[in-house]
Amino acid sequence: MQRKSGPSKVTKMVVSLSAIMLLSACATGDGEADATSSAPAAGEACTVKVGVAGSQTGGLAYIDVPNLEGFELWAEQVNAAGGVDGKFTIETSVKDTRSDAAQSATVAAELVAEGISILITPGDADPSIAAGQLAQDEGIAAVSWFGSSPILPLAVGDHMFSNAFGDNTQAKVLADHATEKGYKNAYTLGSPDSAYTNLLPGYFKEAFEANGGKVVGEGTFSMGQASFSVIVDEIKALNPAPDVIMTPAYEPDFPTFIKALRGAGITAAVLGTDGIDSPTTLALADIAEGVTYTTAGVLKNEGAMGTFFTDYNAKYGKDPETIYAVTGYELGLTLDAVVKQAQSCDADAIWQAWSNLEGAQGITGEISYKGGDRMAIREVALVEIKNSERSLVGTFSPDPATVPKAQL
Amino acid sequence: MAFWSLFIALVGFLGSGMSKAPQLLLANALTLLVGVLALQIFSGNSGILSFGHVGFVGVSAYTTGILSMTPIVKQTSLSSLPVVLQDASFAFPIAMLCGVLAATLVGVLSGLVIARLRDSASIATVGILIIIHSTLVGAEDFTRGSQTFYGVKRFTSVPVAATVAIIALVIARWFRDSKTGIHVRASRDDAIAASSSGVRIQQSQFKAWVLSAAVAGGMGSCYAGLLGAFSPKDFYFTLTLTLLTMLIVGGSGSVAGAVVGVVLVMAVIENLRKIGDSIGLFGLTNAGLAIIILVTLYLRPKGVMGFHEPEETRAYRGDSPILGEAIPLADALPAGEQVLTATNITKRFSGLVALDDASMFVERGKISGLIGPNGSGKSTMVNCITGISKADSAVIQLGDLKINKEKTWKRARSGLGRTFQNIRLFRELTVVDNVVVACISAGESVKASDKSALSLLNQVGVLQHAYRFAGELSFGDQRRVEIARALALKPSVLLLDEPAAGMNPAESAELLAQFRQIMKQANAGMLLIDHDVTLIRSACDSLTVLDHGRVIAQGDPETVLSLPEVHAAYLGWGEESSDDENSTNNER
Repeated sequence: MQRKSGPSKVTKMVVSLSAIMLLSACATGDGEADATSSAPAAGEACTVKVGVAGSQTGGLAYIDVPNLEGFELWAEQVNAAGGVDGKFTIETSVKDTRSDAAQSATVAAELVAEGISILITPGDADPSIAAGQLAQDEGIAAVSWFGSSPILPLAVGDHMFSNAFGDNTQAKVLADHATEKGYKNAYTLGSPDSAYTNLLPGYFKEAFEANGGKVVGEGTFSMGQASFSVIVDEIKALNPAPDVIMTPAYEPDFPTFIKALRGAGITAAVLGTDGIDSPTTLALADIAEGVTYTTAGVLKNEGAMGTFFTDYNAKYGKDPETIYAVTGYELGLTLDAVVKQAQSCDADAIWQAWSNLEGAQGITGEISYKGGDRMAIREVALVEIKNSERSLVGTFSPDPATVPKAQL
Repeated sequence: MAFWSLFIALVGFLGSGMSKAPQLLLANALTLLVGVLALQIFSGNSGILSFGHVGFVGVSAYTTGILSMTPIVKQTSLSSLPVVLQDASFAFPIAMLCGVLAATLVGVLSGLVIARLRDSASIATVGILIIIHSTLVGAEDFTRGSQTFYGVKRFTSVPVAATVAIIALVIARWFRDSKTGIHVRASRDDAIAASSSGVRIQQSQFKAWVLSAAVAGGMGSCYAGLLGAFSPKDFYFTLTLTLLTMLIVGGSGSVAGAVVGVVLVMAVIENLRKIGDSIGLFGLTNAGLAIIILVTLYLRPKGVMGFHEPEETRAYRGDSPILGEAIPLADALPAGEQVLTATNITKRFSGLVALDDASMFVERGKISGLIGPNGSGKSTMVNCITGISKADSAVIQLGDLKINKEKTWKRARSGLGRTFQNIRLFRELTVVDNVVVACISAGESVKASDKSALSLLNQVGVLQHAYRFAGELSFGDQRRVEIARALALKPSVLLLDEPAAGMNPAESAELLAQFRQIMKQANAGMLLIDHDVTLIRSACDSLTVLDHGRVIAQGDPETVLSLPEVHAAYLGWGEESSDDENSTNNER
């Protein structure tokens, strides 16, 4: 009689109440009309419903929030002009994935149920795959804000795209730059702790050695490690000494590393990747002088980007802080070209047009998907730090055939 | 338990009829419930917060993933996988089972370390999480390292998750009231009292750890089939914090708390997220989570459901216990035989000699007294005899059994029952369960223990409180429960440390009569430590006096108490306050 079951009234009340809350959470946002089923014929005016499963909070918000700001600026401008081609208006439905993979899937399913024509997913592989799978199942195209891992589209299937250039592409640009500068011997420093820091050195090595260079040493570090003195000693002991050091390390590792490197008197050129495109790197002053890295573009209030600065400032009352605001706007411009091509709000027509897109005009250059592996084929900007400021070396669009193959 | 199983089954049934988004949400909630139940099994019962269980979730997720994927997918995504695994492709229930086995195996290995720790165990679990995470990142051939592991079939539908959740629930609820479960809970409330009641803390903790690792494995295999793609970072601190939040909000001490925690936290997250999405206020979920944790900790520090299952609370409110038959406590043996012989005990604390070659004995059916002024070494003597302190040299014999090298729990199981000067009950356990802990140590089944415990409670006169929580009883009744607990070990020696402390002379006399009765029934010898000279004089058949760690007198009480050196020592101690000890383990 001691160990019997059956909870008290209070328990029942608490649980019932919570259960009702949970079930009501399940019930809302569900069962809205499926827009695709009643889509008008091609060429007729309609609304393109864009579902955004974005990391508005959490660890990925630094990528997704500015991207969404850029995108919404574009949507506002397009709708003010009567829509894409004057007839296809844009409606955005934003849901927070909280930087969580399981939540991304739930949110994507909710958006699919709302009858979206296209899904935008977070700027990282795991949640993008979780969300993209649901879009793939329903035949809806999904685009990652700026997930740069080339396996992202391959893991999901033919409906998954990314607005970013692949890591293999930016490594190719760095390798070509090193070769052009006449560097013969390179050292790479990666970290197994993330796919980004793990694979980029390998892509660089492949491209650099294909160009005739030689990687004389490959080091690894733990993300967040306190000291790089052992690694620096290792580099110092290399024979032949490297003329160039390539690393995808970013904050806080990149500043720690380069301080230790320059402190030890090593003057070899340093090549970095888009992870260091931040004010912290510029704040390193003399130490970072000459560091050259790849990025989506140079965030400067001039030229084509100047207009964007003005519009962004008018809407948000501040200047854009990262290039991701620009890439978000460019995702809008890509959608613009896609809808013009598709002349429809139908999910399948949009997917077809996206797969075959060529030469959409972005702010930083042209964006294409045709002939690639569903990563954006877009120009990679190469930036050198001069006098603590970003200075554009040039923009590059390597031939996909020469880019190292994505590591699966 | 039936209620909760039904509840989950109903949720599963309703959920499987919904559209995709709520189905995913429910499958996710049920999957998380499995993880929270795993944490409840270990952390809730042992009181050691674990940060390591998400590691087991990861191990199982990868194992399930590798074994359920088709060879074609593996050729592209896991090309360096050993050929045997490359070709292996099982139906998802088998792959899930293998995942659980893998998690259990890692649980066994890590459990060997965790079981040995107590205060530092929580920190060690962080280490385990980090080690497993680094291994998942490092084992690139199997896991693709830090890259996304993809291509797992998404088999975790609502019914699958609900089935696993119900199995986990049944396991968690069964474990809580199993022999090991009760022992682990006792060690959570008071480790010293637990080992003195015959609880093998390390072993019980180990079993709880391994079982919870297996259940966490259940979550891992569901999670793999829910996400379809994941990387090691998905099995790290973020998920750990989510699971811990749910357990803490619901109440870690009960299975009901785990369920309520998941339902409550998921309800808050989902509703606030929906509100946040609709009004464009995206931080609302995190703020809501922070508030719900703070409010819970402020209003109900032990979680919404507290430490107890709802049915435990109800039992003590309503029903009166049904008494089992009186049970014989020990084999009747001739009185006068020496049941405890402690000779030549020496114990030093750095330079201080706490016990200097002290000896004493207890006879069956007789009461031996032990007195001495503050700091004379009484408690050290008790601690050395019970094994809580390790004597530098000693020969301690319990009947024919030499026990000086044995652990405390072994000595207790060999027939050394004790009470403590500062009462040490398992406060969050019911009165009857306090006694059941010792009955289980004495080798009884849980069911038989219930009967025996009630009978013992009747004997010491606290049967009416059987289903109340021990912490709620009055001082005198708590003492009685302690005595019943000691008796449950079927002891040949009862060691009572100041049992009459705080009682008036009339109560002391009543207690004494009760002792004589109990001793007769239990056919045991008794070692009585007390300050009350009147009680000692009237109760004891023999008396040992300690001073500065040495035995200064031994013999029948009248003779001993009339000795001048005893008188001197006694006078010295008579002037001091009676609370001479803080606890049995640090007093010398």
